[in-house]
Order: sequence, then structure tokens, then C-alpha cells
Amino acid sequence: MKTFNNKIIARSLGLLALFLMSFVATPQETGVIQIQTSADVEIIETDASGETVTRLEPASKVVPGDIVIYTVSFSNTGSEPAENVVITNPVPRHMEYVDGTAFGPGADISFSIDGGQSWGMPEELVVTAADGSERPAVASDYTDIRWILRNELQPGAQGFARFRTRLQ
Amino acid sequence: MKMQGKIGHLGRVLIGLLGLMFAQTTFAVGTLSGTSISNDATVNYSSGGVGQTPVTSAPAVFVVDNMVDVLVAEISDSAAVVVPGQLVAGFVDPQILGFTVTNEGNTEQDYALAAVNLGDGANVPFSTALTDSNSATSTATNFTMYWDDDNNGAFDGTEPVVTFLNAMAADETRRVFVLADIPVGAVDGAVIGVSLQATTHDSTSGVLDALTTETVGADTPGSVDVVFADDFPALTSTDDGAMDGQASDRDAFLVQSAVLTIVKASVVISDPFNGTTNPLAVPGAIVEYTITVTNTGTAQATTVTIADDLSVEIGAGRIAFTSNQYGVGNVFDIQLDINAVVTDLTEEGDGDQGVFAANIVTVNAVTLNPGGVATVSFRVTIQ
Repeated sequence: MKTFNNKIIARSLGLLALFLMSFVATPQETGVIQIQTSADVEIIETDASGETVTRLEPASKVVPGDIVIYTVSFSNTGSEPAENVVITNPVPRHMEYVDGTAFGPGADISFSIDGGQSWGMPEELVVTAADGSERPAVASDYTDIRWILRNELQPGAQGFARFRTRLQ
Repeated sequence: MKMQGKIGHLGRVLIGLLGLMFAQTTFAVGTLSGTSISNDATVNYSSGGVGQTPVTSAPAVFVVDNMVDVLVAEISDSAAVVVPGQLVAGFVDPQILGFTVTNEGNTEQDYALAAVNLGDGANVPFSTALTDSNSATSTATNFTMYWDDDNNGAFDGTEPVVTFLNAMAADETRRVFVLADIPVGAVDGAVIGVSLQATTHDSTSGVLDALTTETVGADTPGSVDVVFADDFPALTSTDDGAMDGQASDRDAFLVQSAVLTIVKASVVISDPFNGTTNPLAVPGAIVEYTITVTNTGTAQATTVTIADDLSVEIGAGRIAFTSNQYGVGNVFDIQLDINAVVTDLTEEGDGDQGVFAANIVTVNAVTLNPGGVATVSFRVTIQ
């Protein structure tokens, strides 16, 4: 009797699981990426034991010169892998990128100094002045940041990209 | 004890250093308060080999807060030279104390101004430091501040008197001149240190608006909060604090005055019996009086009058003023020597500097530079 009941329950659960999977997947048999952006500031505190603790809190009290950390979170909520995943983020107006701070696990990061028309590694970017003279681009020249994921983003997988900017 | 700070403050310092090193676009104003900063990210991808519609995140938005930062800087690297008893009305350029007040924040502000005496022993940080020698008689009063509204850097006497600076835009600099009444009793060499202090107020009207106060506690998202970001004064930490919405700097008046000393001496020139050889002070002898005035101060003395009242001696019949003792042909009566430049004068009130009247020998309108020596000589006959 007991065994029988357990079998019934197991089958039911299996059916339920199958049903749930098909329910989620049915609307779109593809990768579906959801993306969120947050702006935070870094708060450095000394706790009761004298240890320095760094934490992020949402950017609200921000004045010129302050650093704002942008975090782009993304996840594949679909049922299929997403390929050729490219995240782009313009450097917000009035902000300048802080050199060397763009970060993203499993991503190749490149930058643009022309609003996203062309991309390159920092050492490849050259600013051409009105008089035709050229100089290497610096972080404050960057207009856009791009993360290209090296691998497919599997269903249920999530990742993030992060960079720091300074309010001008 | 809990310490809290944003890494942004360090960021400002670093930017400042970079600015110095490369003289690139300077971090002068900063983004104006109230500016909304929005950021969104976009993801492009494909699935099953088919390109999908790019997805853009909801924007992350914050509003730039009011960074209150003000700087007061003394302009000249030296004290303003004044004389004892000088009043505000008697100042001329460049005797004034000149300061600049700069809104280094990102919001239009008013600034209340106050000039105060520094007091005994305070250091005035010129490249050659001066020490305030304030005493009861060398504390300036009636501080009066002028806004150099034509921004020409000179005190023209036409500037408006101000107690506050109205509606200074972000990054704007104004020049303020400070004048004061210098006490009559201020001694030569006295240093009167003065601090000009600016305090941040809101700017909403043509008058001095409410004192700007720092937002306490958590930020109000979406609204402009107030963050104080001013530093301590450059070389002093006592006149105003850091992060208090105030700024100040020091300057000084240096009192210079003429200090005159006077010495009278006499020598027998001749007597009726010995002539000019070892003459003795006997009746009929001619005696020369020499009055020596020395300026030991640091300022020029002008319109100095040197007078010697002989009325008692003459009235008692002991001496008589003796004319015609000086100059070619002995036609002059009084001799004035200023720094070894000799001028012979007559005893008549005829327009030269010398006169002998009412038994008083007077030499008028003597100008004596610092260190200068004036000697007045005249002769009498012993009765």
C-alpha cells in the first residue's frame, strides 16, 4: 500500500515537472535575455572591530568627482542557449570612464570613442584632432563599452558586466 | 566610532593631481546639481542562429547633488601698508586687502562675507611670514568690504560696499577688497592680521538667502541634496573647518609711521675777547643752537614743523636772536640742513620755510624720509 502510494506520488511529480517545463518553454523556444542596470556608489566604512568594510549602495548622493559603479546583470530566461551575446553600454553623459575598471567574466571587452561606430582595445584607439594630429585615446575619450561573451549563454545562466565612471 | 566616506573624495584628489600634471581640461565646475544622469545597457544576441531583438535595460537614474565648495584666496603676497589713524575713506589702491572668492561647487550660491581681526601672534602666511602684533591699539575696526564689480583688479573707490556676494554661478570668481579703520595708536611696524571668511548660502533671490545646510542622513533619491566638500584654509586650520560650507584666507595690514626724535645742542661760536678761537660763553658771545630731528620710523614724515620758543630767555634778557649769520655774505638768519642738503632761510615771513616771530624760531614744511635727518641752526648773542 505504502509502496504503491509512493509510486503514484513519484509519477505525479514527474508529470508535474514535465508540465512545468513545457509551460515555461512553450511561449518561446529560444534564448531570452533579460538585462538590468544598476548605479551604485562604494561606501567604505570601519566596523566595530576596526576592519575596513567596503559595500555598494544605490547611487543617490553623488557630486562631481564621485565614482559611480555601473553593474549590468543579464540572464537567459529562455529555454535555448543565446549565442553571440554582446552587451553595449554608452558611458553616460557627464560621466567619464575610469581607466581599467571594465570587468566581465568570460567576456572580451572593447571600447569605442565614436559613439559605437568602431571598437578597439584601449591601445588601438587613436583620437584624431581637428588639425589632423593624433594621440592615443585615454579613458575619458571612451563613449561606449562593449562586452562580447566568449561562450553561449545557457538557459538559466546569468552573468554581469561592471565598470566605474566618475561624475564630471 | 564609525567612519564613513566615499571613494569619490579620493577621486577628486586624484583628478586634481592629474590636472596639475597634464594641465588638461581642468576639473573646474563639475556637472551642475540637478542634472539627471541616466544609464542603460543593451544586449544583442542570437538564438538558434537567428538574431533576436536587442533588449535594453530600464535606465539607472540618479540626480547630481549640490557639492558645496568655496575658496577664498588672498591676492597679493604682501601686506597692505597703512598709516596710523587711516580711515576707510582714506584708502587708495593698492593699500587694500584683496581676496578672491570662488564658487568651486556645482550650484549657484550666495556667500556671506565677514572680515575679522586675527589677533595676537597669528601668522599671516605670505612667502615671508608676518606675525600679527595686535594689541589694544592695533586692532582694525569698521571693516568694509567692496566688490570689484568692474573686475579690473584695482580699488577705484567706485565699487559697491557689500556684506555678501549674490548669485555666484558655479566656477565664478569675484574679487573682494577689504578696508578698515586703522587706530591712531597703531605703532610703526605693527601687523594687523585679517581673515576674510565666506559662508555659503542658498541663492534664490537678490538678497542673502538662507544659510545652506548639509543634508543629514540618507540621500533623498531624485532630489538635490547638499554635500559639503570644502577644504581647510590653505595654511591654517583654525579660521574655518573643512566640509563646513565656509572658506577663508588671511591677509594683513602693515602699519608704517614716521617716528621723529629731536635733540637740541649749542656751541659757542665766538666771544668779544677771544674771537673764534676757544670762545667762551660770556656776555657778547655768539652761541649757535642746533636742533636735530631724525625720522627713525618706516614712513616718510611730511609737513614737519620744527619750532624753538626762545621767549623765556629773550624775555628775561639773557639772550637775543642774532640775524645775518648764514649764507654767502652772511645775509641769511636760519639754516636748514636735510640729509646734508643745506638751505639758508630768512627770519622774515617772506615765503621761505623759516621765520622768527614772537621770539619763536620756526621752520615749516619739512619732509623727512625714513632715516632722514633735518638740522635747524640759528644763533643768539648772550646778553
